[in-house]
Amino acid sequence: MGECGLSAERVSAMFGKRTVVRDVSLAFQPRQLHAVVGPPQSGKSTFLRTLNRMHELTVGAWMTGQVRLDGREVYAPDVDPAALRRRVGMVLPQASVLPGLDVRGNVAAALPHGLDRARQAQEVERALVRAGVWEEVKDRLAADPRRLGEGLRQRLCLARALAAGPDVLLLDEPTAAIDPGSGFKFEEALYALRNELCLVLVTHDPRQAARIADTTTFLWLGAVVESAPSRQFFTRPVEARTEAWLTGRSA
Amino acid sequence: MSRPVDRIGPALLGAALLAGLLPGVLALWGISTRGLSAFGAVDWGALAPAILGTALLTLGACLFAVPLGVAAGLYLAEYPHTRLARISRFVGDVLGGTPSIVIGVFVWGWLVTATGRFSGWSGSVALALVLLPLVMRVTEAGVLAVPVSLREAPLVLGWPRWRATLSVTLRAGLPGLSIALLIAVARVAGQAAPLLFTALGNPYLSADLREPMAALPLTVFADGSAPGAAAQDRAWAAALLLVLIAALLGIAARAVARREEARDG
Amino acid sequence: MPGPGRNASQEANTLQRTDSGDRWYRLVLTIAVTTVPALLLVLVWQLWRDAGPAIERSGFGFILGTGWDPVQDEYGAAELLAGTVLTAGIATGLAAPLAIAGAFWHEMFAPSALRRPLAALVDLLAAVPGVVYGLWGVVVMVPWCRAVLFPALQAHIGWFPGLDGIVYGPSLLAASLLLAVMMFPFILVTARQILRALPATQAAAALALGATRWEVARYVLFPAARRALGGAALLGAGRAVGEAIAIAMVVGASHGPIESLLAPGYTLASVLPHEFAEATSAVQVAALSYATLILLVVAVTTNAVARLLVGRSIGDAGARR
Repeated sequence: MGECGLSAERVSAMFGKRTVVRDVSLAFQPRQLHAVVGPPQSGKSTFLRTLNRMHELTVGAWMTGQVRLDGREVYAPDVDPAALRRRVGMVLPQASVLPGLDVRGNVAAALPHGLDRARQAQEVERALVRAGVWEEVKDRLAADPRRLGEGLRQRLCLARALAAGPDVLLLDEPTAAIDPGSGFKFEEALYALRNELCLVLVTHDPRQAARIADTTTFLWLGAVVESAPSRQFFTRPVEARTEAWLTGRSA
Repeated sequence: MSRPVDRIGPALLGAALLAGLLPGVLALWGISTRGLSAFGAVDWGALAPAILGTALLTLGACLFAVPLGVAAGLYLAEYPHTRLARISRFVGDVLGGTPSIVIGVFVWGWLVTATGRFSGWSGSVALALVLLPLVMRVTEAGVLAVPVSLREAPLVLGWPRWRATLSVTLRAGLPGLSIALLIAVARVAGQAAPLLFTALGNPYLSADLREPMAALPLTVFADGSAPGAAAQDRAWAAALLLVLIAALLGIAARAVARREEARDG
Repeated sequence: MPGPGRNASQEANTLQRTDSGDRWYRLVLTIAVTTVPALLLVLVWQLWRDAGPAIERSGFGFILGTGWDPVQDEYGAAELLAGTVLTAGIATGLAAPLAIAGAFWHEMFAPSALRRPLAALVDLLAAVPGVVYGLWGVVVMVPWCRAVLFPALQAHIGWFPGLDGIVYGPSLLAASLLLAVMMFPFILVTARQILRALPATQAAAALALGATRWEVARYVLFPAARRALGGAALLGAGRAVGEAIAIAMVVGASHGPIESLLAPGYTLASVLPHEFAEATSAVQVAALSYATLILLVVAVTTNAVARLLVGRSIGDAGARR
């Protein structure tokens, strides 16, 4: 594991007749954090959702192109989308609490069947540690997650996504709806996870990408404008449009 | 800076509301007073067959309509773009707009003539046909009302669709769904038309669904037009019972809705 | 390292289809949803079969034929149809304007302390079963009509067509009035849902620009909702067409040409509770089934047109959120 990469080749995504993602080709190397940035409505989230086959669940949505996980085409007819999503996990923009389950249960819900209780507790703790929340919730494992703050809930969702043991983790604007303090703790956890996973982070905040991403891709109106290692992206962008966006001169 | 029309206009609207409400309120008042005095005077033993009958018939209707309707509603929510979904949704609307007397005549021709007898079962089937489109619509709406992020959360973990919908979406939507279902059931319990030619009515206390069965709405209809104080008492008592059921469920619905609102903030 | 529960050999196959649960799930749901159109087909087919003898005898002429004679076994549905149209029309004409006006008041002008209780009251009125309204109608309303209202109408607007003749009490007009009472809460609830489903942006912008609430209601909301509100009225009419029990109790149960609104009569729906159980001949039963079929068509068409006007923005008024 850990050596798994994700690649997109000429991916376009449509809703009915509307094309939202145009001809995007990107390679996401393992053990790195890749950021995809851009203004709102630039197709970032839609693109992300083609990577774990969530895009097709929307009525009228379809895509063209190829997505490969570790070389294997994920849209092949013999691939089970649910199995794919166990290997390519996702954190959604809104934290969600699975009903009827406490903190421990919410994280354990991601574990595969057939684990005994001891192993379950072990994996739950491991996931919470990797998400950087163990210290804060270890005494509250039986609490109702709805009573936790929004920031803590989202970090719990990160733990839940990790508990499934994915090789790749997709994050769709994970810190957009939470307080900055929790956002920073979330980023810390992501930064540490770079050693274990391939991470693809969609964010509208370029500074977040500058803080933690190894590579940054700029998406504008559904197409890739520029993709480069972050240091180069932020200090010496090649494209004029990239620079305009970074300096705030365009929408 | 209000001109005369800004005050007259709303006043007229309010007056229209009052005019429309007045007869209904008078009706409620008349039903309550006559019903309450009937509660004191009526022979509850004579009303027992109808009370038991309504309970059994409604239960039977739920047995048929709820599993079927929930499953159909789930289909509409899960696969909305298929031709089957579009057709069924439209047909559901048509069935929902079918007068309940038509359903009674249909079940009579279908089951009663075929089996040669009036029975509680055919009455239940008739009520179930009235209930089915309601359950279907309420289930579909209930599933769609669950926020997208919650519906997707189990999916991005790699859960199969059936587990995601049943364990998470349905579970999350259960409070609202249960209440809406109860309200639909209460509405069906008050229906007389589907039972006229199916369950027929029965003066004796009976729990045998293979025989004709009494029901509160049938009592209201039959005894309401019958002469004599005893019959009138039964009719008004049955009527008030039906109104109380509807009122109590309405209150429960509001209480649950308020609690959900408070919790989601 | 691999995730929990996975070893190296499973790695290679982890993308393969494993769970057949989803296929069963879809199968069960598909069977369930297919029963709905199936049931409707059976319903129409059964009614058609039951009406067979009458259709053979009279064909489409049944719809236009007058007279309903069980003795001679001669049946025509024209008077029933006229009764249905008249009662539903009068009821909707009375109830819809009041209900729509009331909905506007409730949404735009009601003081906040009144809104919830008012909604609860209207919901309760809408939830009262038809048979209970019928009981109140026959015991309370009709005697009052015969003693007070109808004579007053005759005295003051007796020139109005249809208001002449003997005042019986149970009559087409009584049925129309009772229907109006029943339809009012239903149309009001539907109209409120329509108003609430309107996008709030236009109204908000108008208010911000200094328009009064009345101006917003009259010039912004009403034009936008007009079509859907017409649909709401039509939905009420559709319900009125199908109401059998309550009407049967107050309409006077009398066949024959409609000479006066104050005289007893019949509608398509209300003839069934009275005659179906006691039908003497097979031809009569067939004729009643034929009438049922016509009732189905009228009710379904009215509702279909109504739904087109209303659009799919709101759900069923009875199955609230």
